[in-house]
Amino acid sequence: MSIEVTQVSKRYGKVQALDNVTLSINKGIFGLLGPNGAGKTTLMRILATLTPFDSGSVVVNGHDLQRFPGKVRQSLGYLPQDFGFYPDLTAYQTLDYIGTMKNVPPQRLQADIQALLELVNLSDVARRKVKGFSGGMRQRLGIAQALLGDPQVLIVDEPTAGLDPEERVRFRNLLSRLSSDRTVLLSTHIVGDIEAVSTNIAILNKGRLIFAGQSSGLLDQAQGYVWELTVPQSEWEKIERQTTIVSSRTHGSQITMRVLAHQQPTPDAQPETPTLEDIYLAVVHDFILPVSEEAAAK
Amino acid sequence: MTSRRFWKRFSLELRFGLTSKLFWVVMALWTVMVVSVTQSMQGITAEIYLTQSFYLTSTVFISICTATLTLMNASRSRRHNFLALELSLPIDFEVPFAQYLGNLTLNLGLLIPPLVAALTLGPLRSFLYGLDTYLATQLISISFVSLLTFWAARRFGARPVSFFLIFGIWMFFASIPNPLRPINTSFPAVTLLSILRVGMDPFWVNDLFGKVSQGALYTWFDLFYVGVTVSLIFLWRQRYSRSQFGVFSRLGWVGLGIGLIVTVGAAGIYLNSFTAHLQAADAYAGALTTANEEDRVSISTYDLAYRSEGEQVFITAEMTIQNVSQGAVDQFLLTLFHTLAVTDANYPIEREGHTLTVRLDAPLAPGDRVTLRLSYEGPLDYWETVIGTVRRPYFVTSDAVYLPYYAMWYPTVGTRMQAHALSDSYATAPIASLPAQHFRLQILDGSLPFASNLPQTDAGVFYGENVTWVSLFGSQRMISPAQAEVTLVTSNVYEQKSAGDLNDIQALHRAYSRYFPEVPVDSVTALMFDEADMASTLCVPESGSIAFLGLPPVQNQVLLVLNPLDALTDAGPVTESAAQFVADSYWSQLGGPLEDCQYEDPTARMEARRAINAFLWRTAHTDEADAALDEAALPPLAQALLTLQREQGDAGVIRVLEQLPQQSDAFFASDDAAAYLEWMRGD
Repeated sequence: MSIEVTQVSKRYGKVQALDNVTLSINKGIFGLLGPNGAGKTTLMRILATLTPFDSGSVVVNGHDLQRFPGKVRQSLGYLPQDFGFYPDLTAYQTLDYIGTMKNVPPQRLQADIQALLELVNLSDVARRKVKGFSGGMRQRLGIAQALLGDPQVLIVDEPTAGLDPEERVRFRNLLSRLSSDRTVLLSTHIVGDIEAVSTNIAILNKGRLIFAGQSSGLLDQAQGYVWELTVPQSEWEKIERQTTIVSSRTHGSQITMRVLAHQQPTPDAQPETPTLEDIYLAVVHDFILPVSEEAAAK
Repeated sequence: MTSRRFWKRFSLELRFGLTSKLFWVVMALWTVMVVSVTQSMQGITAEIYLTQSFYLTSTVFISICTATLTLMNASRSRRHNFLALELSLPIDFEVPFAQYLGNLTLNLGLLIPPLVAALTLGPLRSFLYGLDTYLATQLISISFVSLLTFWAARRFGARPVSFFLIFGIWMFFASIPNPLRPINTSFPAVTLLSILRVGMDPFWVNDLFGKVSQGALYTWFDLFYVGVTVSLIFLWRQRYSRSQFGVFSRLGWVGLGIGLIVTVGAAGIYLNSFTAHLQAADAYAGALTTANEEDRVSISTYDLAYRSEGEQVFITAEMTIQNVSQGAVDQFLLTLFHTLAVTDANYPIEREGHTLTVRLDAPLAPGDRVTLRLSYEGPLDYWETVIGTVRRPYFVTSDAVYLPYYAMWYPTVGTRMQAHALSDSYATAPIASLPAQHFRLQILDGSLPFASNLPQTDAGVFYGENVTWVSLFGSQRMISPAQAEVTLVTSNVYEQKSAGDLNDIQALHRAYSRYFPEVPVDSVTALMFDEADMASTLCVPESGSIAFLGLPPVQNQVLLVLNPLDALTDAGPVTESAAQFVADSYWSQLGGPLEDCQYEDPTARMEARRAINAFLWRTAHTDEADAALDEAALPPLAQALLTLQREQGDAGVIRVLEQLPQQSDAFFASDDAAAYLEWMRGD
């Protein structure tokens, strides 16, 4: 129940989508974080056997992905970022079809579908056509199909994009439950999703791995970059030029800001304990170097 | 193949198609098109169209199917992107194969309503004769398009652009006129298909390596070529890439390529096996390989009684055979279509394919005549089946009789290749031209109205003298009264065929006379006008004694070209009704240059034309027999031209031929060769 990614690179024409990425993913939820275009979906598609890669190796549950893609797929549940169902099929028919494709034994399939529909809270609408489903319902049906066949590895790519807050929370909780006995690889650019469910994370930016490991370790890396300060509103532009503003609150003529900066931006600025969102921004704005460059710098 | 996964995927594909509005819209449009076209055609054109060129619409139809397929898939991928999800499932080849077969079944399903509607409304019984061939060719073509589309979906993922890409490729090759595309024997797909002997028959070879091209055929070749080439490219790429697509591993691609070839081969075998025309092909092949024997006899008179019942032809022929050789003749060869069995004859006859060997009781002395009486009967229904297209050049059914001169429905002397479409390479082969002094054709079958190139002299009797060839058409639905009396109306089923035919006629002219200008076959339209200009140059509109009739909706025009046989053998003027037909239909549509070429004395002009023809014939035949022709017996104008040719060579003749049309009617009324020559020299 593990995924070993070793020095995987992938290039689309002139664009280096992945650059020597090395990851070790074990049981539980593993969060893959990064801005749009960071290479998350490329990595997900590689792990889902959909996209070939140029160099490196991937081993899923002991099976080399290049040599035995079929075996990897047997142990895989995949929820793509963009996916769809045949609109005229009902939720039950959809799962029945995909279960058949996954070679779930017929005598077990019906019970599995019922159980999964209950798990994702869709049993009431099992006989409704998919074209009438909301975005959240589709996502839940998507996770249900990914779980068919009881895969040991679950790959979910941006699963909460477009969901309302309540659906997001419900979906995160569902992932938490599922991670108790399998590997769940969750890719997202929504920091809150990772923060809520995952302690093991990796951050990708521009195809390069910035960090991989416990989120606590990452928090240590961001120490000293996060500050809170209160300044008159007139100084907004000056602060914006000097720092990266994470958040701000206005009260009267004053404004309190949470910023990223290499040095204390104003004399009365106070150092703050970094959150995952701070770290994410720090990565995006190059406050934290990629793993390889950091090692080289040392 | 019978697994749950296969059937699940197959039924899902069907379900998706059947719930697609686009599918039903296309089916409805196709049905309306087929029915409206077939119902709007009145006359024998319907028979010809349905038996010969209905298959042309296959190309159109497959394009429509492809459009449907691509739009359906694009729509599906754009809105639902199901394939992206499906690709990650642990499927093996049976699932994509089921998807492919589902697509294929859907597309074939599009065929059924139009066919049922057309056949129900009729009168399309003739079409049934070729239905199996039609469906087979459709199956092959649609299989290929489906395979290509499916491959693109799998190779490029669920991207709408890939489907439109395939559609674009198809339309590109389907829409480019053949003359604009260089086709030669090194064309890989052609070579491959030649090896496979797909649809092989002499006509096919003739078409293939000649210039008679057929759009559907080459479209298919092109697509095959594109498919194989692209597959090979990706096979090559696969070898060096590290793709981990299970079903599209190297082995998968090899399998796909092999499957493609096997499909083509199997289809070819199927086509060959269910058509009975292999026998015909062998007969033709025999005719082609047999050395032509110098014709020692000629048939000077024909007296035919024709009758047909259903698809059976019954003909009794009485012919006067004359020994035209220098020695005695005890046996001679005749050519008759191989399915027509001789049931009675007044001399022993042996048969091999198209060839009859007639053995006389006693040697026939030079110049002597003997009467040969033959009774023969049988079906006469010839199909050309090649991948991608089917033609029915001649046939006899209960609905219609279509026996052009090249159908070998009456005996001709010698063992000849008689093809309706002669490419350059065969242009010098003897064709079915008769030196018959008279040809009498009596129709004993009263069930159909008949028309022939021979003038109708009495009820059910056609008779002509100095006959070059004889065609017979019968149908309850003649095009129009005027056209029913036309000298010769043959169908020209589509543009490529037009170009081929016209090119052949040019080739014939060129083969016999270097004075006949070569007209580049840029397009049918251009050629048509060039031919018209040629007629204008000679100021002899009657020379247009073959009218090629383009059939709606393919080509709603009438073409007029010179008739090479008429030109070479001086068969005489065409009938008045034919000239009227030309005047009414052709020139009224196109606005003819002959408007400026009207003359007061048609007879003089016609005599001039005969003289020019005689000159051309004489200069083209330099063998011993022709050299013995009495030059003094030629028309004065021909004599003058021959003399000029000796004096000034080709350049002088061409100069004179160019200036002849401007001369007055009185000029041509002269019978003084010396005066002509003086004018020619002095100009």
